[in-house]
Amino acid sequence: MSEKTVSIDIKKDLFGANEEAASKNAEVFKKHGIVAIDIMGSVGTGKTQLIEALCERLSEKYPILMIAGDLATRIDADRVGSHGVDTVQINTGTACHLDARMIRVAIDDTDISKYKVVFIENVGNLICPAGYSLGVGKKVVVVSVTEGPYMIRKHPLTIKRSDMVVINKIDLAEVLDFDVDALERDIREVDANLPVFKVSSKIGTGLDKLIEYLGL
Amino acid sequence: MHEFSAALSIVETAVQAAKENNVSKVKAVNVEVGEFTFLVPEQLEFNFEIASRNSVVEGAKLQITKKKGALKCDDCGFEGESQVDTDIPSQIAVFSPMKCPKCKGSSTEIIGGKEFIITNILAEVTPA
Ligand SMILES: Nc1nc2c(ncn2[C@@H]2O[C@H](COP(=O)(O)OP(=O)(O)OP(=O)(O)O)[C@@H](O)[C@H]2O)c(=O)[nH]1
Ligand SMILES: [Mg+2]
Ligand SMILES: [Zn+2]
Repeated sequence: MSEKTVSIDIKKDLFGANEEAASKNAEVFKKHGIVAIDIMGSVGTGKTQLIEALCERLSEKYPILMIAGDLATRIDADRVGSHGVDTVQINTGTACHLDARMIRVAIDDTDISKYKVVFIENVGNLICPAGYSLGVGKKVVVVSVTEGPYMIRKHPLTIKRSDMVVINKIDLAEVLDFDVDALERDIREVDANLPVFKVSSKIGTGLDKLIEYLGL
Repeated sequence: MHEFSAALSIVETAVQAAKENNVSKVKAVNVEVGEFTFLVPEQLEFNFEIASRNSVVEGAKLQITKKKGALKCDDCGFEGESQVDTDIPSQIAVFSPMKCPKCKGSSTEIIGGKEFIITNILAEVTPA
């Protein structure tokens, strides 16, 4: 029997399955009038602290669900849960980002119609989560003054593919001699129109503006 | 390290196609990767080798075609391929692929270069 080499056409979009799941999630959020926000950023930039601060200010006004993506622990979900909001933990195992199907599972596990606001804390990582749509209204990148001045230059594509940037821990800028305006100028180099918010999730600076922008 | 799951999706798709076509051995897998994805071709190749072990795809060559990014500029109306400006200092050169090649502004929107597509495989088939 003779074998021959042939070309077999496939033409499949390998991001397609995630994009499809993301648009289904988006439909669910839309149907229930839910504001869903994906919060991503490197380890320790203050994603959980920001969500806690927002929940503190919003939990009386809206029923909130927090979906926490973490490699293995419930720590962040429990921190946010202490503010009286419901939480779902997704243990991502070795995966470096949440994907739309994980969010789908989390949605199916809860009575999503109960909520008006969904905060999703992505896995601490400034690269991988940026490439995967979850079906949220806004993808927020949290950077902070403790990661040094070059975060934007090292990760311009992550910034470009986000919907807004939060510069967190500005209360530490002075003591660290950190030039927040220079960081903002770098963001402007990447995108002239991206909304940028300078906040301290710890003491509350700048949060009102952010909340207003989110329409909450 | 999303390259491993990305590589796995290539392998799974190739294995499926091999099954449907009576393939005895896959020699090459062709994919297209956009400039504005977060996929690094070298890491994709490395992970592909691991992900394809013990499958009909094992030993196949992963052939990656890089796709240029494309931008749309809100300031001057430019629409087309992004460019890397070699005249600008390297410490800000990182921004240049995302800037408008025409007016150099950053009121740009990514309109191409996010693709990750498996186009075809080259395979040995046993005639039935
Ligand atoms: N001074 C100051 N500290 C902050 C602020 N926001 C967060 N922190 C501190 O920074 C540390 C990390 O904050 P987290 O909220 O856990 O950061 P994270 O991004 O959720 O971290 P991972 O989930 O591990 O990726 C904690 O010790 C916070 O108290 C801030 O605005 N100012
Ligand atoms: Mg956290
Ligand atoms: Zn332009």
